[in-house]
Amino acid sequence: MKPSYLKNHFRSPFVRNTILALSLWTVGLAGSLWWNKLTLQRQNLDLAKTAALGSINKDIAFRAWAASHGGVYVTPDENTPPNPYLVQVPDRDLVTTEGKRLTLINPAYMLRLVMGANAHLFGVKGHLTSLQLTNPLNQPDEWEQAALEAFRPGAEEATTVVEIDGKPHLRMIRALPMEQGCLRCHADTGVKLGQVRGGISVAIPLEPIYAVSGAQDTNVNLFHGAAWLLGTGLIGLIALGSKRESAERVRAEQAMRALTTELTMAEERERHALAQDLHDNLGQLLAAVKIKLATLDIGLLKSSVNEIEELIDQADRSVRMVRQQLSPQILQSLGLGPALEWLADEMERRYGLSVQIHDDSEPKLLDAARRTMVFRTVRELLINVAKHAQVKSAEVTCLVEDCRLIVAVSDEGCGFDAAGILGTLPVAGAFGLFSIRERFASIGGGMDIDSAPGEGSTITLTVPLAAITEEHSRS
Amino acid sequence: MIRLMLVEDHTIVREALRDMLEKEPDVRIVAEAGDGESALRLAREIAPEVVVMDISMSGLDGIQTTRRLLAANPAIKVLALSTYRDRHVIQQILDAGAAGYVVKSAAGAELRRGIRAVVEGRSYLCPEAAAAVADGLRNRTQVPEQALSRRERQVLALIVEGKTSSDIADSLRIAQSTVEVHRRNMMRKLQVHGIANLIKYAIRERLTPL
Repeated sequence: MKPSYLKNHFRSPFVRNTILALSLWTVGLAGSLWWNKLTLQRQNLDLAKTAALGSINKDIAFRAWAASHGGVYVTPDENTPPNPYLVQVPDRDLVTTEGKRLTLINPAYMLRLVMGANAHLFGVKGHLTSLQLTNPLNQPDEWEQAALEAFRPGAEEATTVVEIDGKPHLRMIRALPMEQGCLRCHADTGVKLGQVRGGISVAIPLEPIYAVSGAQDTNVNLFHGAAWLLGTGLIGLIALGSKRESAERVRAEQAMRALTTELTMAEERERHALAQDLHDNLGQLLAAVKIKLATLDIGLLKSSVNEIEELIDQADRSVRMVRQQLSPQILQSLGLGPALEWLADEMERRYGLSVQIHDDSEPKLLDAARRTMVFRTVRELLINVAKHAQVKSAEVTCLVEDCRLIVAVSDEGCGFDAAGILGTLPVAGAFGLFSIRERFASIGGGMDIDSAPGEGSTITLTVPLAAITEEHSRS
Repeated sequence: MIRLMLVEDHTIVREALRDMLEKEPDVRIVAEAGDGESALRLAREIAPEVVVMDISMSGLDGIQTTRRLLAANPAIKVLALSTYRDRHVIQQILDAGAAGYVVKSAAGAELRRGIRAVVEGRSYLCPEAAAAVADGLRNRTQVPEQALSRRERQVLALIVEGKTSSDIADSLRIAQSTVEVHRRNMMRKLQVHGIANLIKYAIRERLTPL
């Protein structure tokens, strides 16, 4: 079994959270940037519209003033010749009493002339146009034509942004209603008073506005860039910090686990060593003493020697009992299978529990410490069965599967609530199971309880067999 | 004269044995070994009549040494001498070819008796060893094979449904190893081999609908 806690750790929350935080931050800032730019653009447009409206209003005011006087008389020159479209107007050309020549400039003509000067001086291109033309020069372009046709009461204005000579302009057109003053020259159009006579359009260069808003735009860009960098940096730092922290935690957990394993194994080795010592020293000494006693020519001392022999036998029994408790001799000499058979005999003899051992006869390569641990655990579990399960028999199943040793103790006794017993605080009966689980987990194995009240129980121990140094390989 | 070799890795015990056996008029100790390897070498060179063999020795133990020694020279009589009183150990060394078994704490008179018995071609178990073997024969209550438990039938039903071990483990909320245990126990109880036969059994016995 691979330590799954490692795998989980690296797949885990902090990488996911970091990616999430970075995405949220990036998306949030991108949204803010987009909104700011949109607002700026709207502002630009509003500014341009105001300017366009200003220009148009001025044109209308000019025109209205001129119209209110039925036009104005000016001195003609080459830029301002007499208007050829006014030939039918009786007083087009006048000569003052002092012989000065004057010509009538009708409002539309005046406006066209002023617009020409404005375009020349300020880049603001005005245009007076109509669907019912008097002067073909006032022919509407495509856009003006579409706008003029679309005018309805209440929607007598249209704007759009276009490129003129490669430069962005805001175009605006406003409807011009037919007024009394217009009729002097334009009665022929058939347009009634108050109806749309034509339109004044204007194109405002956007570059000066863009120049102002460009600085604002740069600020917005800089601000968002800086905020993104700062946030990303912060998130990165936090992620690094938490990664380091969790790496430390993983390391600490590993160290802890290694320590637990080492402790468990050390304890088992200690027991084994103690058992070995008892056998090698005390046991052999007692045997030697008995052999020596047997060689004595005892004669009259016979009864005393017999007593001594009896005492030595008692000592020998004690030694063997302690030794069996620590680590049964047979476990180390013959291996787990025979040791479990021996244990079955013991359980029958001591507790009246009949135990069947079912071994798959696969070699079970365990080192002495692990073998002892498995053996003592099985003994503990069998004693539990004998004491609590209210049955007369139990089964021990040993098998090797996927480089794991699986040993299970099953009985068909009264069973218990496995989840309950492990889910609560360790109480007297459960403590043994807790500690078994801990110990087996610490060597990379495990313990599983399959039991329910009235359903018997199967407690399964697993021990990894791979990478185990082998001392005794007999099974 | 009985030509005898002592194989015993505890020096104190070996010396005690030597002292005792040297007092026997018809026994001559021709060799002593403290481990299995040298026992095999000395036996080849000296060919003793009887070998008194300790069981628990580091390196080659008494059981393995006995097996090899008798493979090389079947005429030698091996008398096992050990602190073990367990029938499985006794069984193992007798299987390896030993002619007799004496526990160490009874090494005085019993050992002398054992030596003479094996020389005469008889098998010999000291009373303690005989008792252990007899206990083993007597104590084993044969438990009749039980029927499948409820849990095992649940596992079987899931196997029949084609579930994998890990599916079964998940749905019964137990470990996969436990599923494997139930599976093996069922096959043993029903005396069938392999999943296919287990499924056949389940269908034949209509065990599937629980």
